[in-house]
Amino acid sequence: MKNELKIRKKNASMKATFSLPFISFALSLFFIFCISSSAFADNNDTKRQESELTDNLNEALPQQKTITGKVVDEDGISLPGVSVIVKGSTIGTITDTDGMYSLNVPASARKLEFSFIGMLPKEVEIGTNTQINVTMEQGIINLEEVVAIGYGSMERNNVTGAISSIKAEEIIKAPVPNVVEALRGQVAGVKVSRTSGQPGSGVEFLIRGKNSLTSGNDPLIVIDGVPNTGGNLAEINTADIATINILKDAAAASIYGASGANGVVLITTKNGLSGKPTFSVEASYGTVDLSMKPEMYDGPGYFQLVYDAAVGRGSSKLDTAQLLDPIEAKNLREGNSIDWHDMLLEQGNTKNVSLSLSGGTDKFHYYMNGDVYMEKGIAPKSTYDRFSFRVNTDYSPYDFLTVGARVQLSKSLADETSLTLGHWGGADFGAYVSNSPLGSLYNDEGQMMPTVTGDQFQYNNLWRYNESDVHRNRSRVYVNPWLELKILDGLTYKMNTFAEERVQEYSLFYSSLYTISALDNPPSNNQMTYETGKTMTYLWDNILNYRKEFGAHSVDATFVYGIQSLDAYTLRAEGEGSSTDLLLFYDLNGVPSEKSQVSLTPNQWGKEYYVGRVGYGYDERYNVTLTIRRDGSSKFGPDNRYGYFPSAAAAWNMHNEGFMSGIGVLDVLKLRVSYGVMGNDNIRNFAYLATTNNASYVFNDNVYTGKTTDPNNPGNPYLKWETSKQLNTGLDFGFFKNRLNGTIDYFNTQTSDLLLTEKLASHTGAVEVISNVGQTKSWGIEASVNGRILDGDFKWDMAINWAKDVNEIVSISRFGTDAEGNVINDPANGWFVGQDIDVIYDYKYIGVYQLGEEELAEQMHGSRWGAGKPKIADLSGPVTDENPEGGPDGEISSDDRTFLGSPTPEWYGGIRNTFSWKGFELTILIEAVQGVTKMNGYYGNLTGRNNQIVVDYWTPENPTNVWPQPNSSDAFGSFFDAARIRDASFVSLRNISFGYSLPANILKRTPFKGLSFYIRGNNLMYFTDYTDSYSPEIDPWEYPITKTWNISTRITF
Amino acid sequence: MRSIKFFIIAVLGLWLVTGCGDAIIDLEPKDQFTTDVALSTLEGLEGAIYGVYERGRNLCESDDIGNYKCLQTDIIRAGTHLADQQVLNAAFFCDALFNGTNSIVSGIWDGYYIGINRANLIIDGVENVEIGTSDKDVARKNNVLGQAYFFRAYYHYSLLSRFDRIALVTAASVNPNDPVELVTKDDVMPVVIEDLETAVDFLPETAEVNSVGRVSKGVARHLLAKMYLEVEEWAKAAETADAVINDPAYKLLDDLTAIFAIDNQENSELIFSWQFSQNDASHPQRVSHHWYPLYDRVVGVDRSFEQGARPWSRFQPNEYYWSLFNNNDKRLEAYHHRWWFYDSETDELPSGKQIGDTVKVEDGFTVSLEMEIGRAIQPTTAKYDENSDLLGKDVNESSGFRNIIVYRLAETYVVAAEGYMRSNNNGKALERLNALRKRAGVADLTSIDQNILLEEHARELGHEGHRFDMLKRLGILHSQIQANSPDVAEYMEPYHVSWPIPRTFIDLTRVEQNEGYNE
Repeated sequence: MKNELKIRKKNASMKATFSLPFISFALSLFFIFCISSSAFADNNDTKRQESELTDNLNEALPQQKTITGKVVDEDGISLPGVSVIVKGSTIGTITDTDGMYSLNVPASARKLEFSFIGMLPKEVEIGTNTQINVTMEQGIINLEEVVAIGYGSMERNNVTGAISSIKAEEIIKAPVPNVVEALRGQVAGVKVSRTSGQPGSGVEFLIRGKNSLTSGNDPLIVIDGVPNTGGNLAEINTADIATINILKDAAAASIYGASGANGVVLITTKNGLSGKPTFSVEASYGTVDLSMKPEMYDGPGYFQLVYDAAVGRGSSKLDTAQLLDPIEAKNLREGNSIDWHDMLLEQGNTKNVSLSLSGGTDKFHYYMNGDVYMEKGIAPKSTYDRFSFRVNTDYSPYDFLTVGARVQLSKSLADETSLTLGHWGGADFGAYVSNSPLGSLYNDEGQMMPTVTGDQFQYNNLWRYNESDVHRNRSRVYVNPWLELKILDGLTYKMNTFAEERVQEYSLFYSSLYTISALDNPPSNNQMTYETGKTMTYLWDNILNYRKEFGAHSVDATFVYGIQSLDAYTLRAEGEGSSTDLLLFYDLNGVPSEKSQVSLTPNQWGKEYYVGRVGYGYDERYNVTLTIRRDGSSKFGPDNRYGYFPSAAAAWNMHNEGFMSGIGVLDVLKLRVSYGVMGNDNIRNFAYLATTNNASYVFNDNVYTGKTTDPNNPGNPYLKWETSKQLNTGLDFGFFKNRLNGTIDYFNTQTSDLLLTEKLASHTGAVEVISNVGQTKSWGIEASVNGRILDGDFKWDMAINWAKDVNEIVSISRFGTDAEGNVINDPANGWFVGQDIDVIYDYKYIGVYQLGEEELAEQMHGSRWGAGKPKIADLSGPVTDENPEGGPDGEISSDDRTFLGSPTPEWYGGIRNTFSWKGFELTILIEAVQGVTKMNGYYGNLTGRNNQIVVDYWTPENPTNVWPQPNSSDAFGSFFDAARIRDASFVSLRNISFGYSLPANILKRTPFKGLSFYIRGNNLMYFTDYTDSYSPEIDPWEYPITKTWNISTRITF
Repeated sequence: MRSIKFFIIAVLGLWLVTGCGDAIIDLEPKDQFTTDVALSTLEGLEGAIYGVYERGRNLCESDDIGNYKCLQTDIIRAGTHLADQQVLNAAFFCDALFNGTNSIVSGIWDGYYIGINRANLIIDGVENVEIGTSDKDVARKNNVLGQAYFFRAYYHYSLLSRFDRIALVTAASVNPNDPVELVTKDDVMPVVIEDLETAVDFLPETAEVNSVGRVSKGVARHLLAKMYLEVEEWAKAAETADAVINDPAYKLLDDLTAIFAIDNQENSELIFSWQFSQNDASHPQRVSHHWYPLYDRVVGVDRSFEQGARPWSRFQPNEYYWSLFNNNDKRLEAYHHRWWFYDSETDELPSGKQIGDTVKVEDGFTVSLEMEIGRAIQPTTAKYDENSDLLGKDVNESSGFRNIIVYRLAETYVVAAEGYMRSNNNGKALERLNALRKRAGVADLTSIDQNILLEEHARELGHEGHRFDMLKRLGILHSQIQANSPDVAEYMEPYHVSWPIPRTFIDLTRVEQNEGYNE
């Protein structure tokens, strides 16, 4: 009975998964048909074909008329490249080099919109005119701009939520392959950091800080209406991106329901505009170097440390021969000393060539881009090469119908061999810091050695690079066909469909010599892994929009029904001990069967959702938006499968009130308030189900297997998403024709039903279960101000953003307290009620016991302590009758641990200055992250066992208070971490972009539409006290963080 | 044109109506069963029983918990390196760290309750499984059920014996939000006995079961006989024990060394053992190495299988235990490892010694470690020996693959003897004990009382994990330790005979801690 049911269900879901690609496929076919029947004509004859096409269409649509005109600036100089669009449509063109345009518009067209970078946009009634000339005015921020919101777009004026926008021009100024990294320091409340310098590696980013303890704080990324389901964003070519909008508050993000709680990033890709084809070629070359280098001991300095560590231990064996191994002793004698960074790291480089073609007619627009990006990292055997191709097109066969498609193909090939140093553990660049400077890569016979000294842990990086091989290849193919249908006046239906296939291949190989510690060691088993993962994603959104103005009233209503599903498999094969190293991982077939293992891991989830949004505006003064989303998710049990996420927001455009009209300099003053509910469903699939473990038992040496309960997965039918309720208030302002404008927002978020592992009393037969038991709260302020400080020939624009967000754990358990009434914390995970999520809880290191303080040291720590040992603050003691307050007790014990700060910054922000003069433009972006406390794991333990970063350590002759006395057995006791806690605040010179574009009057005499040259730099310099690291942002022992200098040229014709 | 528009709207409308939302979100895991699906067939139940066995064996896989049944008895002392294992050391000595946060305490409690839950899932789940009416199917069902009832009883009793106040759980579904009541022996024992009586009915005859690792009628009867002693049903105890003794599947071995020999792990004296195998290499036992002194630190003695493989020196038999033996008792030689020999080719031997000579304290040998010289060669029990690589053990590995014997027929004889003795049938009682003495080559006993019985129990069954239960049942655990086990006597208070309830359980259920413990 049960089995039958299962099979039936499986069939149903097959139908569903097939119908989606079918729809995508059908739309694609339809679309290709439209293109092939009309658009792509012979290149030589484009013009004739185009006019023919237009004529044909005109025949079909006799009501069309042609409007011509000229666009000039305030000084009467003609403006080329101004975009002219029929309002509310995709019909448009661009002015030519004389500022002239000609556009066929349908009879229903009411207004033309003119827009140009740096100018205030302009709308003109068409009426009966056939010629419309326009004078555009200078402006800084475009308040009439159209902002993408979830499942639609809206004029900035009507927006009620907290939405930040950033344009493509600012993104491409950062020479980085990952669009998220390009947002660094640019948007208030968005904190991006790079934790590894590995070419092609991902970045971490947060919007408005952290709320979740275990379910991740990654924002949702939506590309052209399609929520991203994973994969590396580095595979989206930044050059394809037109705009990025960041939905920060609940009013904006709750439309993404159960996945919106961490904020949403909406990315819109480019499309062509009506007009002649524009070819654009861009090429760049860059260099990659270490951004910061810690100072290491050289040979003699290291020997001194080893000597001092032996003295610190009280050892009497102080001869060089006793302190150093023979290789080290020889190198010391001969004056050889190696800086492993200089020896092993080299300059990396980036190369990028991109070719794009865009353009269109009134009915048809296209954008194509082919792009190659190649990066070679600073460590040997680390590269990332990406090849991407995109086509975005749309076609309107009738004035009520537009169909379009976006297609992307990308492939990336990465050599990750440099990450194998840790052997199975992934990245470990520790050897760069810890290897002895007195070591050697080669022995006297010139043979490379597996270790640089006699110590088996001082492994030779080059040896390991040679004896291993790791590659990761990814490819993704997606088609995103869409259709827009005008059903009635103001009523539009849009269908957005999407199908993607992502494939990742990963191979790992360690030769039989990888782990040996000396040349004459016998080889061990070679080890290999091959993994292939395939992910398919489908989406089908039906969006019905009604937008209409009734006198002073305007209504904008949207209804969405959609589904999204993901189906993925990872097949992994591993083995060891094949007969040869020469075939690399391909010799998996040659591995003895008992030494090989295969695993198949499926992954699947699905979502079904209904979204409703109603916006109402009155007289350009008052706006209200109400949103509700009903989300159904396969991640939750039948009881909680559906959830509702409502929000409400209101905005008041005070500048449109009569009483404000007297204030001449004030152009914009807008107050926004919103409240809403968002979710976080970022948990593993089927966590609500009680699943089984494999049970095995032996009788008479035969193994019997079955399925039994999994005490760590007893199932929780009540499991649901984490819920964040957020209040946001904001103020937008603009002065002096918007020359100075900005935004201030305040938010307050309460997150409840945190997904945490809850212990269960064992009589239930279970040990723990994932439950919704915890709570956090957070609040923050964000401000951004943009201004044009100087105007005229020489322009100076400044954009400043600043944000502060504070989080606090409210509760992490059902009861809150234990049986004795003590608050339940979770020290193992570092979670403490009332503290920051990432708070550091440790001893407070206050210096070093000096000569003469031996008695005090012994009293505090016992007989092993004395001069030269770490000094720890005595803050509290156990509560006893004599010490009822638990105050300082004259002894250092675990009670003396305290809260020492957190990696959550007190504030962060950026300043971007752009100077332009004639065709020159210089942009400098500075990012600041302040009030950060971190444990700097790069510091060594002063035992002299390994090399380490140079520090000021204590010796009887150098009675410093900074670091304790080296000791070859143990210099720190339990206080090593405490002594390494540092302020990791920094200011960084994030990007510099200097460019020159040939002015229009020169270009006129060339075949080019544009010719530009740039020098750009990224991550150029840190101003920080946290210098003993590769960057204040990185943790040991990741791939070092790099800086990039890049020259590029861009030609359009 | 209007018709095109209409057509498109109609097609789109159709798509929408045939939308496939439910199929998109109503998913089931592809690579995993849910528990209810897994247990929905007879094969599923038969597979699930391995999860019940596995909980009991699992404790023997832990260095901390593996020997817990030998802790706190009158015949054991600490080995030289017990202190290396802080948690075990605390439980052994009942020191300040022996409280509800001790991981041995919570390991036993949590592990056995998972076993009880798994047994309950089978007992409750059998109703929902369609089972054929053929004799074979019914026999299979009964066999699984019998095993589940046996283990529910075994785990409940094992908990009761240590903790005295336990949660009695007889249903698979337990709401974690319901209040928990801890009950005592009077409430637990009737359920344990009923479960075992049911198990005896359901289980197959011992002769039909092809392994001493499988629970059979004999195994259930053996435990049932012991349980009758617990509730002072003396005659029933003797009768049930005799049913095992008279079971043709069992027979006392005449060759004492054959009982524990690793090449003889399925012998007719054995009733039940936790089974290990190198074929299941990820589940080795970690029991054997705890009993050997650090003999290989003696200069002139190398580590070898013959001498005891890798030693950890956590426990040793104590002086009182040795004092119980008379020199011609064959068990002295058969059950123990008492001598070590010089065997090193590389070390320098003490003057006048040859390879093969017995190591003696008076030889003036040295040990490469700070310890009392005599303790490096202190005799120990050989009942857990894995003294060859026959099962795949490496001499340097602390873990191995020999089975750990839980019940053997000699214990049934002692149980029968007690049953008869307390039903005033001393003749039968002596007959049972003398059967054991006879093969040990010592003179018959002519009289019997509790003391005589306890001494014979120690000689025959010492360090096999039955001593704590027996002394506790008789109410003399604390006094016996005070009298005979000086290193524990110093710390052990009367309240320690009831182990502390795990702290995590108290935090989650708010039950009261056992008396005497403050954490």
